[in-house]
Amino acid sequence: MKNPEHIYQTYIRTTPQRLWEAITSPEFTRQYFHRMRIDCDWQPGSELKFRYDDGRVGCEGTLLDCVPPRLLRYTWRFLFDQELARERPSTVTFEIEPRGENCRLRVTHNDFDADSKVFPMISEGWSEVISSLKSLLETGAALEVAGNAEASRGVA
Amino acid sequence: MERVFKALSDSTRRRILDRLFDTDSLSLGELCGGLEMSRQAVSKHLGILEVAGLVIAVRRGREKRHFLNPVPIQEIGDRWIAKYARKQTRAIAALKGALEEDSHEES
Repeated sequence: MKNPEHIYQTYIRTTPQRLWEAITSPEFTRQYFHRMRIDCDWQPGSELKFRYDDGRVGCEGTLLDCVPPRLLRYTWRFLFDQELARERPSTVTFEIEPRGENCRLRVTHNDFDADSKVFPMISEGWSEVISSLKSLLETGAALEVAGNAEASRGVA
Repeated sequence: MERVFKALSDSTRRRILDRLFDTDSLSLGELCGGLEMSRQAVSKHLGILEVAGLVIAVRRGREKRHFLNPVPIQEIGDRWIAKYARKQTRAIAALKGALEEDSHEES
């Protein structure tokens, strides 16, 4: 059986530098990523955490690759639920490629076990997050998505 | 967005998206298995879905695997559906759903 894997892709009217800033800056991620700030010293091998304003950690992982402004890869563990938090970490990869006046952003989320319970839960979440990120960069306003509110209530 | 609407306007292409929603990462051969049409026809539909960004083809080992990319549909939802699907339209849709379910049960 194949291990589950999701790929998301969009084109955003922005520069690679600005898109890189959006995926690595805590003030940016707070606006489109379930109201959590990314926290990392950007040295491969370092811990990476997504924190709410009150300090709770919603997801965490280890930084694997950091090649600004092109490639960001980290392991990812979902902490919203105690049972799900016991699953081994999966891997998230962001790839940024300039395409004329736009950037292609591809997000690959893989390295799940075949019977992962986290995997079926994340699909809708990523679509909303990426769509909101695109809106933030192109219009200056992130989208108010349902997941933002739910995730901030449901953290374990 | 024009390309996404065009890609979604064909029932075979919508079936391909449904197949990929159920089982991501299918090869062309695996996709052909569930559709009664030639490999060339399926390949052509996949091409239109790829241009629209709804399907992403990625090389995995020796094979090309196809993934559903739901982001363009999310973007259509944000731009064209959320705006119009207000409470009243949801209520009418729910009423229609309930009435049709009733008549279905009766028949």
